[in-house]
Amino acid sequence: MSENNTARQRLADWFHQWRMPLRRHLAVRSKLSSADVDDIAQEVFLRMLRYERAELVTHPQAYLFKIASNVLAEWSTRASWRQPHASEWLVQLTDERDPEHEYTSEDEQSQVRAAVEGLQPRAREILRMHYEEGLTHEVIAQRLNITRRMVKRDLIRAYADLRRSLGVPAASAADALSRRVGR
Amino acid sequence: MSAGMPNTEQSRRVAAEQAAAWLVALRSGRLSASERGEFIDWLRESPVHIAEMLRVTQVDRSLEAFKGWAEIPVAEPTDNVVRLMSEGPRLAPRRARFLTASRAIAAGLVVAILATGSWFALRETGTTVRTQLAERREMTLMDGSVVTVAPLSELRIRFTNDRRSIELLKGHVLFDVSPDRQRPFVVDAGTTVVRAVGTSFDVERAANEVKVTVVKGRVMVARDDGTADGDLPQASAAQQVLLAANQQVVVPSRAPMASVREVNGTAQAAWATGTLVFDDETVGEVVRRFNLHNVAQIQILDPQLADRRISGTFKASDPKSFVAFIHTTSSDLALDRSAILLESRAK
Repeated sequence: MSENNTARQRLADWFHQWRMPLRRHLAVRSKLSSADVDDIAQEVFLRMLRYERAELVTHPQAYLFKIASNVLAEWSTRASWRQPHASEWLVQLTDERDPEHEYTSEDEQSQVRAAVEGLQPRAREILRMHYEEGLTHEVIAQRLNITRRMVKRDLIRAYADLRRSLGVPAASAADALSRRVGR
Repeated sequence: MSAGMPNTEQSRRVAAEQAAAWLVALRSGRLSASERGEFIDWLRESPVHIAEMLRVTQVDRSLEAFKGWAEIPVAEPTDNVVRLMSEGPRLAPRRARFLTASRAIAAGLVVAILATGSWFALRETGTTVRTQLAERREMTLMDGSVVTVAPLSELRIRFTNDRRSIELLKGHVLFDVSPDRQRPFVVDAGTTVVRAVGTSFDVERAANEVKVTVVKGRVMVARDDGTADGDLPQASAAQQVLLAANQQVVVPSRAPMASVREVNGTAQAAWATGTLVFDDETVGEVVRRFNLHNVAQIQILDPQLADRRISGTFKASDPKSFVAFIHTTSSDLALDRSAILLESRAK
């Protein structure tokens, strides 16, 4: 039992270790264009195909973010001559400090605010309860007197909406596929 | 390789929705091995999926770093109510399009969610079937599916253009489902929903649990206490499981779904043809089964006997031979013949 917990903790640490730098990085939108994301994704895709499925299945998120982090790191090194902020990326990738303060500008805060305000009232409330109060779907469902599946459905739609209003704009997929990360 | 990749804005939108669904699942932090496998398979299908997963991760990150929640206007209570009422019909067509485009991820379950609104209405209608003690009834439904209803069971059958719905109120039913991809066959047993396309499976609803056994094909079993996920390409491990032939799962009403176990599906469903097959069951359980299928009731007067475990195959209509079997195999116990009695009629 305790062994199990230890293993779980280790996994959580590992996940955190790879996830946080990447997410921090991805939040820096001004330095990561849409084309960049598609290029990175293309390379991550090719690398993921080289792994054994069984291996990836053990910790899919961790592998995804680890591979993406690696691609980012290599890519930013390669691209440093054309990306003025490349060295900054690397610092962020290896930085383990709390992301809450360092990388969210006032500008970005107001962008998020505008995007969230554009959502339906219930979706706003669900997001607030989930992100600010850290409530689970169950508790949110109880408080709003709706079902859990409605909470999940609203969250999914909110993410999809925010991805359009807040996320980097999508280059067309055809562009993404025709462009390749240099070797 | 990239030539075969979908590259339309439509597929991009679908991928964005799927990525959002995966984010919700990942944030809730409970993926089973098979769900993790689905996630990996999905990621490895297309760079677009990976790009959308990274984008939605970015949205997630932005929300986590956001500090202005206090200034966000919240929903008024009345607003909630209004949106709840108006949402269903408005949502349906959009979801339906998403479904077509997305190569039918858990297609029927999405349909199940869409139908939630009308689900309550159809509870009141449809055909109701009730069986008496010792009555086993076999019925062929409009679509060619065959339903065998065990004694003391009750179910409602309601077919629509896009769905074949069975509500199992109590008891035990074997379903031989006629394939129809356009109309999922959905069995609602209270806390548990079972969905099939064309297959043969057995659902037993007891007071505190639902047991689902697959004889042939595959079915999706999901909890339905408001937690089963229809609009996700996956759901949390404890809530949903895909059962293959010769697998069984027990869903207790107040505990997480038990793990899937291997059984002999044909033997489990043999009751439908009048044969009771027991594999290491307690005599108490065996007697309960016999008593269900017969007017003549067996009584166990020795509690020790009720806890004994036996295996064997019996004719459901012949409790006498079972009692004889117990008498001949119980010589090791200091049982007298009155430990088990066969009464000629029900209490």
